[in-house]
Amino acid sequence: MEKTLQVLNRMQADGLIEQYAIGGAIAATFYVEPISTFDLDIFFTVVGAADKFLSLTPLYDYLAALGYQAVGEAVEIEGWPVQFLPAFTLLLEEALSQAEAIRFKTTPTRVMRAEHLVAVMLQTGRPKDYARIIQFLENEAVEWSRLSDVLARHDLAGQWKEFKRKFNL
Amino acid sequence: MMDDTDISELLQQRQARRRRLAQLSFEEKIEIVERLRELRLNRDVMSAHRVNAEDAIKDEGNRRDSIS
Repeated sequence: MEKTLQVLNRMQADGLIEQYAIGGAIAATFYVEPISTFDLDIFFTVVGAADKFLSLTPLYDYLAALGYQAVGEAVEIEGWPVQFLPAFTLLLEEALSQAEAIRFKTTPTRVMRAEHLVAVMLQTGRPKDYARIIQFLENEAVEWSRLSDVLARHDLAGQWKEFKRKFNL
Repeated sequence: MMDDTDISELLQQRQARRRRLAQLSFEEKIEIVERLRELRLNRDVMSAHRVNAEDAIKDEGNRRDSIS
């Protein structure tokens, strides 16, 4: 994983991506118990991207030149299939810009905050997302005032109320 | 058969184990994720081998049927 993150940092230094943050199951693992997953979800923005439907070709070409090949929807980088996901909603953009700076061993990286992860999971709304939200709550991984702000800002308060009703929380 | 007390105890133990895992460092947790991934990949490979073997047996059966 550390070598994978080093490659991502190099992509950022070389200007391929403006900013990135770890999301998905690996980001959730930062806050709760380890979650079984095959890939690493990387949310990113690109400098001066005209629209949100940007092409991943420059990223894939850059990585191919370094010897990292695309496998399905991911690129295999140092043993980890990495999925590059443009931050295409306001919630994801905010999650990316406010991600927490951490170190993995000695390598700097960024992980989405727990409150944003919960909001993204709520918005995505698959059964596994709901199960993960419950893990976050059981582990007291979220700061309530911050979560409440995020949910209100992104019009998710109603969905949150429905989620709590459904699961008797 | 388990009664409600047994189930409640099991759930409590499971919850305690999950809490302990949540307190590991990120690096330790990722090591566990990597091991889980390896196990799943190995299981998938084994499963693919089994399917291939079953297909081979079926093919051989079909071949023999067509000869007889």
